[in-house]
Amino acid sequence: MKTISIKDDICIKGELTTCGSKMLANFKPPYNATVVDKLAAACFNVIGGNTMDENSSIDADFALCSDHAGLARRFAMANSLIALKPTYGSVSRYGLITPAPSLDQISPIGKTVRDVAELYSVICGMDERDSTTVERDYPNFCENLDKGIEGIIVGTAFCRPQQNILGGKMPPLQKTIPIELPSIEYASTVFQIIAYAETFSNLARYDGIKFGYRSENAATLAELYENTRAEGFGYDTKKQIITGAIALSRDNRHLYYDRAIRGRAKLCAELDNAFAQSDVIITPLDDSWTVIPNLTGCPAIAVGGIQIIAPKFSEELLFRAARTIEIAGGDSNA
Amino acid sequence: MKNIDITYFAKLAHIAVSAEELPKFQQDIEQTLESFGNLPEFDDVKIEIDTTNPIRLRDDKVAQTFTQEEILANAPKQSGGCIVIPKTVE
Repeated sequence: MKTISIKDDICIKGELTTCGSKMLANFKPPYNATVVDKLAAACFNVIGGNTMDENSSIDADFALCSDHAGLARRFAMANSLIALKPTYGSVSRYGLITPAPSLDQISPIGKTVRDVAELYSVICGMDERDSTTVERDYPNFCENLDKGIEGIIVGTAFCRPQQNILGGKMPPLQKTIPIELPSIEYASTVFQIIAYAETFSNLARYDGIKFGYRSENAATLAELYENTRAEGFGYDTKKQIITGAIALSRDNRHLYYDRAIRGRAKLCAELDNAFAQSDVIITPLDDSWTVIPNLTGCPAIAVGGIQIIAPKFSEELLFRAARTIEIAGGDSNA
Repeated sequence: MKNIDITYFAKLAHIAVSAEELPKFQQDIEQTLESFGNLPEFDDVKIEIDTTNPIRLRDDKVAQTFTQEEILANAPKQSGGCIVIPKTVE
Protein backbone atom coordinates (compact mmCIF):
# COMPACT_ATOMS: atom_id res chain seq x y z
CA MET A 1 0.00 0.00 0.00
CA LYS A 2 1.29 3.47 -0.88
CA THR A 3 1.77 5.85 2.02
CA ILE A 4 0.79 9.50 1.79
CA SER A 5 1.54 12.25 4.29
CA ILE A 6 -1.14 14.92 4.72
CA LYS A 7 -0.54 18.44 6.00
CA ASP A 8 -2.39 19.14 9.22
CA ASP A 9 -4.75 21.67 7.66
CA ILE A 10 -6.53 18.96 5.63
CA CYS A 11 -9.30 17.33 7.67
CA ILE A 12 -9.15 13.65 8.61
CA LYS A 13 -12.20 12.42 10.53
CA GLY A 14 -11.48 11.91 14.21
CA GLU A 15 -7.80 12.85 13.96
CA LEU A 16 -6.26 15.99 15.38
CA THR A 17 -6.15 18.62 12.63
CA THR A 18 -4.54 21.67 14.20
CA CYS A 19 -3.10 23.87 11.43
CA GLY A 20 -0.20 24.23 13.87
CA SER A 21 -2.37 26.70 15.81
CA LYS A 22 -3.40 26.97 19.45
CA MET A 23 -6.83 27.91 18.07
CA LEU A 24 -7.35 24.36 16.80
CA ALA A 25 -5.11 22.48 19.24
CA ASN A 26 -7.92 20.05 20.18
CA PHE A 27 -9.88 20.02 16.91
CA LYS A 28 -10.91 16.61 15.61
CA PRO A 29 -12.98 17.06 12.43
CA PRO A 30 -16.26 15.13 12.22
CA TYR A 31 -15.62 14.55 8.50
CA ASN A 32 -12.93 13.75 5.96
CA ALA A 33 -11.75 16.24 3.37
CA THR A 34 -12.90 15.09 -0.08
CA VAL A 35 -9.29 14.39 -1.08
CA VAL A 36 -8.90 12.09 1.93
CA ASP A 37 -11.99 10.10 0.92
CA LYS A 38 -10.63 9.81 -2.64
CA LEU A 39 -7.24 8.62 -1.40
CA ALA A 40 -8.85 6.02 0.86
CA ALA A 41 -10.95 4.76 -2.07
CA ALA A 42 -7.74 4.45 -4.12
CA CYS A 43 -6.14 2.37 -1.31
CA PHE A 44 -3.61 4.93 -0.07
CA ASN A 45 -2.42 4.69 3.53
CA VAL A 46 -3.10 8.21 4.81
CA ILE A 47 -0.96 9.71 7.58
CA GLY A 48 -2.07 13.09 8.92
CA GLY A 49 -0.46 15.83 10.93
CA ASN A 50 2.57 16.84 8.86
CA THR A 51 3.61 20.47 9.29
CA MET A 52 5.38 20.76 5.91
CA ASP A 53 7.19 24.02 6.28
CA GLU A 54 10.29 24.61 4.22
CA ASN A 55 12.53 23.19 6.95
CA SER A 56 10.69 19.89 7.35
CA SER A 57 10.69 16.73 5.28
CA ILE A 58 8.33 13.82 4.68
CA ASP A 59 8.78 10.13 5.28
CA ALA A 60 6.22 8.85 2.77
CA ASP A 61 5.82 8.02 -0.92
CA PHE A 62 3.51 10.98 -1.56
CA ALA A 63 2.23 14.09 0.17
CA LEU A 64 -0.63 16.55 0.02
CA CYS A 65 0.06 20.09 1.13
CA SER A 66 -1.96 23.29 1.02
CA ASP A 67 -0.37 25.75 -1.39
CA HIS A 68 -0.64 29.25 0.06
CA ALA A 69 1.72 31.65 -1.72
CA GLY A 70 3.65 28.76 -3.20
CA LEU A 71 4.36 26.96 0.06
CA ALA A 72 4.02 23.48 -1.47
CA ARG A 73 6.25 24.36 -4.41
CA ARG A 74 8.94 25.83 -2.15
CA PHE A 75 8.68 22.81 0.17
CA ALA A 76 9.19 20.56 -2.85
CA MET A 77 12.15 22.57 -4.08
CA ALA A 78 13.82 22.46 -0.64
CA ASN A 79 13.39 18.67 -0.54
CA SER A 80 14.22 17.86 -4.20
CA LEU A 81 10.63 16.81 -4.78
CA ILE A 82 8.02 17.69 -7.42
CA ALA A 83 4.87 19.71 -6.51
CA LEU A 84 1.85 20.66 -8.57
CA LYS A 85 -0.33 23.69 -7.87
CA PRO A 86 -3.47 22.48 -9.67
CA THR A 87 -5.84 24.58 -11.74
CA TYR A 88 -8.24 26.39 -9.41
CA GLY A 89 -11.44 24.36 -9.40
CA SER A 90 -9.90 21.04 -10.40
CA VAL A 91 -9.34 19.73 -6.85
CA SER A 92 -11.98 20.00 -4.14
CA ARG A 93 -11.11 22.24 -1.22
CA TYR A 94 -13.83 20.69 0.96
CA GLY A 95 -12.10 19.94 4.26
CA LEU A 96 -9.12 22.19 3.59
CA ILE A 97 -8.75 24.72 6.40
CA THR A 98 -7.57 27.75 4.51
CA PRO A 99 -7.16 31.45 5.25
CA ALA A 100 -7.59 32.64 1.63
CA PRO A 101 -10.10 30.52 -0.33
CA SER A 102 -9.67 32.23 -3.70
CA LEU A 103 -5.89 31.71 -3.64
CA ASP A 104 -5.21 28.41 -1.89
CA GLN A 105 -5.28 24.93 -3.38
CA ILE A 106 -4.35 21.41 -2.30
CA SER A 107 -1.08 20.42 -3.95
CA PRO A 108 0.05 16.88 -4.72
CA ILE A 109 3.75 16.26 -4.02
CA GLY A 110 5.89 13.30 -5.04
CA LYS A 111 9.40 12.14 -5.76
CA THR A 112 8.86 12.01 -9.53
CA VAL A 113 6.61 13.68 -12.09
CA ARG A 114 4.85 10.33 -12.54
CA ASP A 115 4.09 10.21 -8.79
CA VAL A 116 2.50 13.65 -8.95
CA ALA A 117 0.53 12.84 -12.11
CA GLU A 118 -0.76 9.65 -10.47
CA LEU A 119 -1.76 11.47 -7.30
CA TYR A 120 -3.44 14.31 -9.21
CA SER A 121 -5.39 11.74 -11.25
CA VAL A 122 -6.79 10.41 -7.95
CA ILE A 123 -7.76 13.70 -6.28
CA CYS A 124 -9.02 15.85 -9.17
CA GLY A 125 -12.65 16.18 -10.16
CA MET A 126 -15.89 17.98 -9.48
CA ASP A 127 -17.25 17.87 -5.93
CA GLU A 128 -20.78 18.91 -4.95
CA ARG A 129 -19.42 20.05 -1.59
CA ASP A 130 -17.11 22.62 -3.21
CA SER A 131 -19.09 24.78 -5.63
CA THR A 132 -15.90 26.19 -7.15
CA THR A 133 -14.94 22.80 -8.59
CA VAL A 134 -15.48 22.40 -12.31
CA GLU A 135 -17.28 19.55 -14.03
CA ARG A 136 -15.25 18.26 -16.99
CA ASP A 137 -13.50 15.16 -18.24
CA TYR A 138 -10.26 14.67 -16.35
CA PRO A 139 -8.03 12.15 -18.16
CA ASN A 140 -5.56 9.74 -16.61
CA PHE A 141 -2.58 12.06 -16.43
CA CYS A 142 0.01 9.26 -16.43
CA GLU A 143 -0.82 8.02 -19.92
CA ASN A 144 0.91 10.66 -22.06
CA LEU A 145 3.78 11.57 -19.76
CA ASP A 146 6.54 10.46 -22.10
CA LYS A 147 5.15 12.01 -25.27
CA GLY A 148 7.57 14.90 -24.97
CA ILE A 149 6.93 18.50 -25.94
CA GLU A 150 7.78 18.49 -29.61
CA GLY A 151 6.22 21.49 -31.32
CA ILE A 152 5.47 23.19 -28.02
CA ILE A 153 6.41 26.86 -27.71
CA VAL A 154 8.05 27.54 -24.37
CA GLY A 155 7.93 31.04 -22.96
CA THR A 156 10.75 31.86 -20.61
CA ALA A 157 10.61 34.50 -17.90
CA PHE A 158 14.27 34.12 -17.02
CA CYS A 159 16.48 37.12 -17.62
CA ARG A 160 19.61 35.06 -18.03
CA PRO A 161 20.36 32.84 -21.01
CA GLN A 162 18.37 29.64 -21.11
CA GLN A 163 21.39 27.35 -21.15
CA ASN A 164 22.34 28.46 -17.64
CA ILE A 165 19.04 27.34 -16.15
CA LEU A 166 19.06 24.02 -14.30
CA GLY A 167 22.85 24.03 -14.15
CA GLY A 168 23.08 23.61 -17.89
CA LYS A 169 20.73 20.62 -17.85
CA MET A 170 17.94 22.42 -19.66
CA PRO A 171 16.56 20.10 -22.32
CA PRO A 172 16.80 21.09 -25.97
CA LEU A 173 13.65 23.06 -26.64
CA GLN A 174 12.46 23.52 -30.17
CA LYS A 175 11.24 27.02 -29.72
CA THR A 176 11.53 29.44 -26.84
CA ILE A 177 10.44 33.03 -26.64
CA PRO A 178 11.04 35.58 -23.88
CA ILE A 179 7.97 36.37 -21.81
CA GLU A 180 7.32 39.39 -19.63
CA LEU A 181 4.40 40.30 -17.42
CA PRO A 182 4.57 44.12 -17.28
CA SER A 183 2.87 44.17 -13.86
CA ILE A 184 4.89 41.33 -12.27
CA GLU A 185 6.53 43.77 -9.82
CA TYR A 186 3.13 44.27 -8.16
CA ALA A 187 2.23 40.58 -7.88
CA SER A 188 3.41 40.08 -4.28
CA THR A 189 1.59 43.19 -3.04
CA VAL A 190 -1.61 42.26 -4.88
CA PHE A 191 -1.38 38.78 -3.40
CA GLN A 192 -0.80 40.02 0.15
CA ILE A 193 -3.70 42.47 0.13
CA ILE A 194 -6.16 39.89 -1.20
CA ALA A 195 -4.82 37.21 1.17
CA TYR A 196 -5.13 39.48 4.22
CA ALA A 197 -8.63 40.63 3.24
CA GLU A 198 -9.78 37.03 2.81
CA THR A 199 -8.06 36.04 6.07
CA PHE A 200 -9.98 38.77 7.92
CA SER A 201 -13.25 37.46 6.51
CA ASN A 202 -12.57 33.74 6.53
CA LEU A 203 -11.13 33.45 10.04
CA ALA A 204 -14.15 35.20 11.56
CA ARG A 205 -15.53 31.74 12.31
CA TYR A 206 -12.95 31.22 15.05
CA ASP A 207 -14.96 32.73 17.88
CA GLY A 208 -14.63 30.13 20.66
CA ILE A 209 -18.26 29.03 20.45
CA LYS A 210 -18.74 25.87 18.39
CA PHE A 211 -15.22 24.50 18.09
CA GLY A 212 -11.61 25.35 18.75
CA TYR A 213 -9.96 27.27 21.57
CA ARG A 214 -12.04 29.29 24.04
CA SER A 215 -10.67 31.89 26.44
CA GLU A 216 -11.44 31.32 30.12
CA ASN A 217 -11.11 35.04 30.66
CA ALA A 218 -14.47 36.43 29.51
CA ALA A 219 -17.60 37.65 31.29
CA THR A 220 -19.55 38.77 28.19
CA LEU A 221 -20.01 37.38 24.69
CA ALA A 222 -17.99 40.25 23.18
CA GLU A 223 -15.12 39.56 25.59
CA LEU A 224 -15.32 35.88 24.76
CA TYR A 225 -14.82 36.62 21.04
CA GLU A 226 -12.06 39.17 21.57
CA ASN A 227 -10.06 37.26 24.17
CA THR A 228 -10.46 33.91 22.42
CA ARG A 229 -9.06 35.37 19.20
CA ALA A 230 -6.35 37.34 21.02
CA GLU A 231 -5.14 34.23 22.86
CA GLY A 232 -5.81 31.61 20.17
CA PHE A 233 -4.22 33.27 17.12
CA GLY A 234 -0.49 33.92 16.79
CA TYR A 235 0.89 37.43 16.28
CA ASP A 236 1.31 37.18 12.50
CA THR A 237 -2.23 35.91 11.99
CA LYS A 238 -3.64 38.71 14.13
CA LYS A 239 -1.59 41.27 12.23
CA GLN A 240 -2.89 39.90 8.93
CA ILE A 241 -6.50 39.93 10.14
CA ILE A 242 -6.30 43.54 11.37
CA THR A 243 -4.53 44.62 8.16
CA GLY A 244 -7.28 42.87 6.18
CA ALA A 245 -9.91 44.78 8.15
CA ILE A 246 -8.17 48.02 7.19
CA ALA A 247 -7.82 47.00 3.53
CA LEU A 248 -11.56 46.28 3.30
CA SER A 249 -12.81 49.24 5.34
CA ARG A 250 -15.04 51.88 3.76
CA ASP A 251 -12.45 54.66 3.94
CA ASN A 252 -9.49 52.58 2.78
CA ARG A 253 -10.63 49.91 0.36
CA HIS A 254 -10.16 52.17 -2.66
CA LEU A 255 -6.46 52.39 -1.68
CA TYR A 256 -5.94 48.68 -1.09
CA TYR A 257 -8.54 46.00 -1.82
CA ASP A 258 -10.11 47.58 -4.91
CA ARG A 259 -6.69 48.22 -6.42
CA ALA A 260 -5.56 44.68 -5.62
CA ILE A 261 -8.62 43.19 -7.30
CA ARG A 262 -7.96 45.26 -10.43
CA GLY A 263 -4.26 44.36 -10.23
CA ARG A 264 -5.20 40.69 -10.12
CA ALA A 265 -7.37 41.11 -13.22
CA LYS A 266 -4.49 42.89 -14.96
CA LEU A 267 -2.05 40.09 -14.14
CA CYS A 268 -4.59 37.53 -15.40
CA ALA A 269 -4.92 39.45 -18.69
CA GLU A 270 -1.15 39.74 -19.04
CA LEU A 271 -0.72 36.01 -18.46
CA ASP A 272 -3.47 35.27 -21.00
CA ASN A 273 -1.55 37.42 -23.45
CA ALA A 274 1.64 35.46 -22.71
CA PHE A 275 -0.23 32.22 -23.37
CA ALA A 276 -1.38 33.61 -26.71
CA GLN A 277 2.31 33.46 -27.69
CA SER A 278 3.47 30.32 -25.85
CA ASP A 279 2.07 27.00 -24.64
CA VAL A 280 3.87 26.86 -21.29
CA ILE A 281 6.07 29.34 -19.42
CA ILE A 282 9.14 28.53 -17.35
CA THR A 283 9.87 30.92 -14.50
CA PRO A 284 12.03 31.28 -11.41
CA LEU A 285 10.49 30.16 -8.11
CA ASP A 286 10.86 33.62 -6.61
CA ASP A 287 8.22 35.47 -4.58
CA SER A 288 6.65 37.28 -7.53
CA TRP A 289 6.39 34.36 -9.94
CA THR A 290 5.36 31.88 -7.23
CA VAL A 291 2.14 33.79 -6.46
CA ILE A 292 1.13 34.19 -10.12
CA PRO A 293 -0.51 30.71 -10.37
CA ASN A 294 -2.41 31.38 -7.11
CA LEU A 295 -3.63 34.77 -8.35
CA THR A 296 -4.60 33.60 -11.83
CA GLY A 297 -5.87 30.09 -11.06
CA CYS A 298 -3.47 28.56 -13.59
CA PRO A 299 -1.64 25.31 -12.83
CA ALA A 300 2.08 25.29 -12.08
CA ILE A 301 4.63 22.64 -11.28
CA ALA A 302 7.91 22.94 -9.38
CA VAL A 303 10.54 20.69 -10.90
CA GLY A 304 14.33 20.87 -10.87
CA GLY A 305 14.33 24.21 -9.05
CA ILE A 306 12.17 26.04 -11.58
CA GLN A 307 8.46 26.56 -12.11
CA ILE A 308 6.43 25.76 -15.22
CA ILE A 309 3.05 27.46 -15.65
CA ALA A 310 0.37 26.41 -18.14
CA PRO A 311 -3.11 27.66 -19.06
CA LYS A 312 -6.01 26.49 -16.88
CA PHE A 313 -6.79 22.77 -17.11
CA SER A 314 -3.60 22.08 -19.10
CA GLU A 315 -2.11 19.75 -16.49
CA GLU A 316 -1.49 17.05 -19.10
CA LEU A 317 0.83 19.36 -21.05
CA LEU A 318 2.37 20.60 -17.80
CA PHE A 319 3.28 17.05 -16.76
CA ARG A 320 4.82 16.35 -20.17
CA ALA A 321 6.95 19.49 -19.94
CA ALA A 322 7.99 18.64 -16.37
CA ARG A 323 8.83 15.10 -17.42
CA THR A 324 11.03 16.45 -20.21
CA ILE A 325 12.97 18.54 -17.69
CA GLU A 326 13.14 15.60 -15.27
CA ILE A 327 14.73 13.43 -17.97
CA ALA A 328 17.17 16.19 -18.92
CA GLY A 329 18.16 16.36 -15.25
CA GLY A 330 19.20 12.72 -15.37
CA ASP A 331 16.14 11.01 -13.90
CA SER A 332 15.20 9.05 -17.01
CA ASN A 333 13.95 5.99 -15.12
CA ALA A 334 11.53 7.81 -12.86
CA MET B 1 -0.63 55.68 5.89
CA LYS B 2 0.17 57.11 9.31
CA ASN B 3 -1.72 57.24 12.61
CA ILE B 4 -4.20 54.58 11.67
CA ASP B 5 -6.43 53.68 14.62
CA ILE B 6 -5.33 50.09 15.25
CA THR B 7 -7.57 49.78 18.31
CA TYR B 8 -10.62 50.56 16.18
CA PHE B 9 -9.77 47.99 13.51
CA ALA B 10 -8.79 45.35 16.10
CA LYS B 11 -12.22 45.88 17.65
CA LEU B 12 -13.82 45.40 14.23
CA ALA B 13 -11.87 42.14 13.90
CA HIS B 14 -12.88 41.06 17.45
CA ILE B 15 -9.29 40.81 18.62
CA ALA B 16 -8.30 42.20 22.02
CA VAL B 17 -5.04 44.18 21.79
CA SER B 18 -3.38 45.13 25.06
CA ALA B 19 -1.65 48.46 25.70
CA GLU B 20 1.67 46.60 25.71
CA GLU B 21 1.03 44.98 22.31
CA LEU B 22 -0.34 48.09 20.63
CA PRO B 23 2.94 49.85 19.69
CA LYS B 24 4.27 46.75 17.89
CA PHE B 25 1.01 46.22 15.98
CA GLN B 26 0.96 49.94 15.14
CA GLN B 27 4.51 49.92 13.80
CA ASP B 28 4.26 46.65 11.88
CA ILE B 29 0.90 47.35 10.28
CA GLU B 30 1.89 50.88 9.28
CA GLN B 31 5.02 49.42 7.71
CA THR B 32 2.94 46.86 5.80
CA LEU B 33 0.50 49.51 4.58
CA GLU B 34 3.40 51.68 3.48
CA SER B 35 4.72 48.78 1.39
CA PHE B 36 1.25 48.52 -0.20
CA GLY B 37 1.46 52.19 -1.13
CA ASN B 38 3.34 51.51 -4.37
CA LEU B 39 0.34 49.83 -5.93
CA PRO B 40 -1.01 51.74 -8.95
CA GLU B 41 -4.72 52.36 -9.29
CA PHE B 42 -4.97 50.03 -12.32
CA ASP B 43 -7.91 52.23 -13.35
CA ASP B 44 -7.66 51.04 -16.95
CA VAL B 45 -8.79 47.59 -15.82
CA LYS B 46 -12.38 46.53 -16.13
CA ILE B 47 -13.41 43.67 -13.87
CA GLU B 48 -15.36 41.10 -15.82
CA ILE B 49 -17.14 38.01 -14.63
CA ASP B 50 -15.53 34.77 -15.77
CA THR B 51 -18.26 33.06 -17.76
CA THR B 52 -16.11 30.14 -18.89
CA ASN B 53 -16.73 28.04 -15.80
CA PRO B 54 -20.09 28.97 -14.29
CA ILE B 55 -20.80 27.59 -10.84
CA ARG B 56 -23.07 24.57 -11.03
CA LEU B 57 -25.32 24.56 -8.00
CA ARG B 58 -26.34 21.23 -6.53
CA ASP B 59 -29.94 20.32 -5.83
CA ASP B 60 -31.21 21.46 -2.46
CA LYS B 61 -31.87 18.14 -0.79
CA VAL B 62 -32.51 17.30 2.86
CA ALA B 63 -29.85 14.93 4.16
CA GLN B 64 -28.22 13.91 7.42
CA THR B 65 -24.70 15.26 7.59
CA PHE B 66 -23.59 15.07 11.21
CA THR B 67 -25.18 13.88 14.41
CA GLN B 68 -25.67 16.22 17.35
CA GLU B 69 -22.97 14.30 19.24
CA GLU B 70 -20.48 14.73 16.41
CA ILE B 71 -21.08 18.47 16.23
CA LEU B 72 -20.93 18.98 19.98
CA ALA B 73 -17.77 16.91 20.34
CA ASN B 74 -15.62 19.92 19.37
CA ALA B 75 -17.55 22.53 21.38
CA PRO B 76 -15.30 23.99 24.08
CA LYS B 77 -18.16 24.08 26.62
CA GLN B 78 -21.45 22.21 26.53
CA SER B 79 -24.25 21.10 28.80
CA GLY B 80 -27.38 19.00 28.23
CA GLY B 81 -26.80 18.78 24.48
CA CYS B 82 -26.35 22.56 24.13
CA ILE B 83 -23.34 24.84 23.63
CA VAL B 84 -22.76 27.03 26.70
CA ILE B 85 -21.94 30.72 26.17
CA PRO B 86 -21.77 33.70 28.55
CA LYS B 87 -25.08 35.24 29.56
CA THR B 88 -26.29 37.61 26.83
CA VAL B 89 -29.71 38.69 28.20
CA GLU B 90 -30.18 40.38 31.59
